Amino acid sequence: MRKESILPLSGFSLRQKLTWLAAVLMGLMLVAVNVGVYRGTVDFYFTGVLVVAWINVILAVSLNLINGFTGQFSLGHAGFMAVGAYVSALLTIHLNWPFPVVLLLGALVAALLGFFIGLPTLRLRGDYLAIATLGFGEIVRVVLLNLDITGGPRGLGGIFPKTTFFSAEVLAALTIIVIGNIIRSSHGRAFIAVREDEIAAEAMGIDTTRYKVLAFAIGAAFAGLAGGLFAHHQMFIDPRSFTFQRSIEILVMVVLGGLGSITGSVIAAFVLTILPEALRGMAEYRMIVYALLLIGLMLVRPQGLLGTKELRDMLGIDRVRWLKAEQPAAGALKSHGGDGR
Amino acid sequence: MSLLEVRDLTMQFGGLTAVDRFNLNLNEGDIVGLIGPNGAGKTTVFNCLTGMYAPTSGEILLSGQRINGLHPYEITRLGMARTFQNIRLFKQLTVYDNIRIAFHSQSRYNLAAAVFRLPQYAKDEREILEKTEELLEIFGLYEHRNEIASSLPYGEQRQLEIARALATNPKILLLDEPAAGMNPQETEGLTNLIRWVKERFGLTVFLIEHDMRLVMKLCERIVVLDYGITIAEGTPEEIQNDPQVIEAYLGEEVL
Ligand SMILES: Nc1ncnc2c1ncn2[C@@H]1O[C@H](COP(=O)(O)OP(=O)(O)OP(=O)(O)O)[C@@H](O)[C@H]1O
Ligand SMILES: [Mg+2]
Repeated sequence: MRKESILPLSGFSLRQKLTWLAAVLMGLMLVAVNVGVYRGTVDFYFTGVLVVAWINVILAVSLNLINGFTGQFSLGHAGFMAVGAYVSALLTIHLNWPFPVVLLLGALVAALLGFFIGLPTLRLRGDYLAIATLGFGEIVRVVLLNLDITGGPRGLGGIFPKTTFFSAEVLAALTIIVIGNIIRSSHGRAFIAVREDEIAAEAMGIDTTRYKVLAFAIGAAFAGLAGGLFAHHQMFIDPRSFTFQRSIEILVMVVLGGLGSITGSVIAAFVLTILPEALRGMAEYRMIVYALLLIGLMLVRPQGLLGTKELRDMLGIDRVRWLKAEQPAAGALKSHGGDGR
Repeated sequence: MSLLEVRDLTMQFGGLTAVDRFNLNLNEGDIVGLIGPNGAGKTTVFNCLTGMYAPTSGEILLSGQRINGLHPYEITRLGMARTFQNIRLFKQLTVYDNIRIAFHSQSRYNLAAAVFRLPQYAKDEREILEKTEELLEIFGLYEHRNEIASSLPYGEQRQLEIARALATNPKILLLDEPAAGMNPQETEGLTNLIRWVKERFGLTVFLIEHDMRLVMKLCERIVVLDYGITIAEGTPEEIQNDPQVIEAYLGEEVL
């Protein structure tokens, strides 16, 4: 059977060629950064910024599952992150369990909480859900502030610095793959159907309640994972790291990148982590410039950088065709122009 | 045993009785119409049957199983699918995705199979793809597959909604005013399409329609509602000559 080459550039529009160029450039930058960090030529401070960028990628992509793909307005992501951070940090400090294990447990506890938060808040929509999840985030913070084991307002110090650039990068990649694979499946289409029209989704045999809870649980799990990485990067956590402000920051990344675009979340997380650092030279004008950039972008592209598009759609990689091509004895190959998402 | 049996279905909204002791028996292969003036309670009957409303009283049996109180998605999975009076497509999604979503309950793989791309995932997705294409071809929507649903002309949106309902693999298809907003030629085409699809998929059809030509041509049996009360039931001829029906429709020249 005829296999098409992976790079049939002749068939691409100018826009797609430019996207290819951008993708290749980003890929090269990624390679350069990895080599630089590996060789130790990237300084300690900037490596730290990159670690935070990967953590923000995990946070933004997982919040996108809840807010972007499933259409549920959650403002509680910092709360889930806090749970993952404290659970993993306490396990490290008191029991010195292996890093992967404490990360996993932090994610699991956050997921469990996401599940239980998901249940009662399902009756709420839009603004009401936003306020309820905001309240949840605040409750988590206040609880952390008042418990003895969490160190109250003094926080937890002396957490071993186990998060490296590479562990953060690998886990961010894992997050992208896992959530991406879920989205490009029947389950992912169910999330999107809930976002588009809940009543129609039910009429199509989709258990909308289940998928809303599932979105919260999966999103919370990855937020918990990000929290664990964060705790073992900062070596010190206190409730001030997980305020409402933090949830808003993640939300800004998701909206800026495009509600419903994983690629958009990744790019926005990087840009919004590195930009404030790049603007550091402007001192007090920094936040004003940052805010103006955000406002400008929202005016020019209200749907976010990428809308609901993914890199692979824009590159013109015809996924449905690949799926068909695996099939023996498929008749004439028909082109279906992407996944539609 | 009838496929769908409705016993004394009543739906009240506060003081308003929208549907009053509605009874129905659908046998396999039936094609039955539900007519009545605006606000008679027709859509409310559909909403009760499909679990969108919880009926105030009465019983609904699908293949002998009581389905009152079940969620709409459960009823869809038991084999009753519907379209909506005000088209409810996934407007921002492609024609293609609208249909694929409806195959949801026919894919058997779980989340882990999706995450790890297990063989079951590829198998089910390929199957969904084939069935989606088949449906799109039947409905003449194949060329439009990559278009956003809301960009389709009105008539084709209605057809897409029927195709989407069929993708859930129903035994019973409920159509709420499928010809609304269509011109006579389109209505004619739709009439033939419904008949053809019914045979092809072995369906039982229950439809609400204001277009009397379609109803009279298509339905073997017609139920007439007025103010929630069933005022007549019978063959198209019987209904056309029923004095109560004529009175309910007085002033409307449809009959
Ligand atoms: N959710 C609801 N809450 C309150 N009243 C309702 C509700 N749904 C329907 N009704 C009322 O029930 C009555 C029947 O409405 P329904 O939509 O079933 O009529 P219909 O026969 O489908 O009319 P049409 O031909 O205009 O579509 C109307 O008086 C309507 O206002
Ligand atoms: Mg109606």
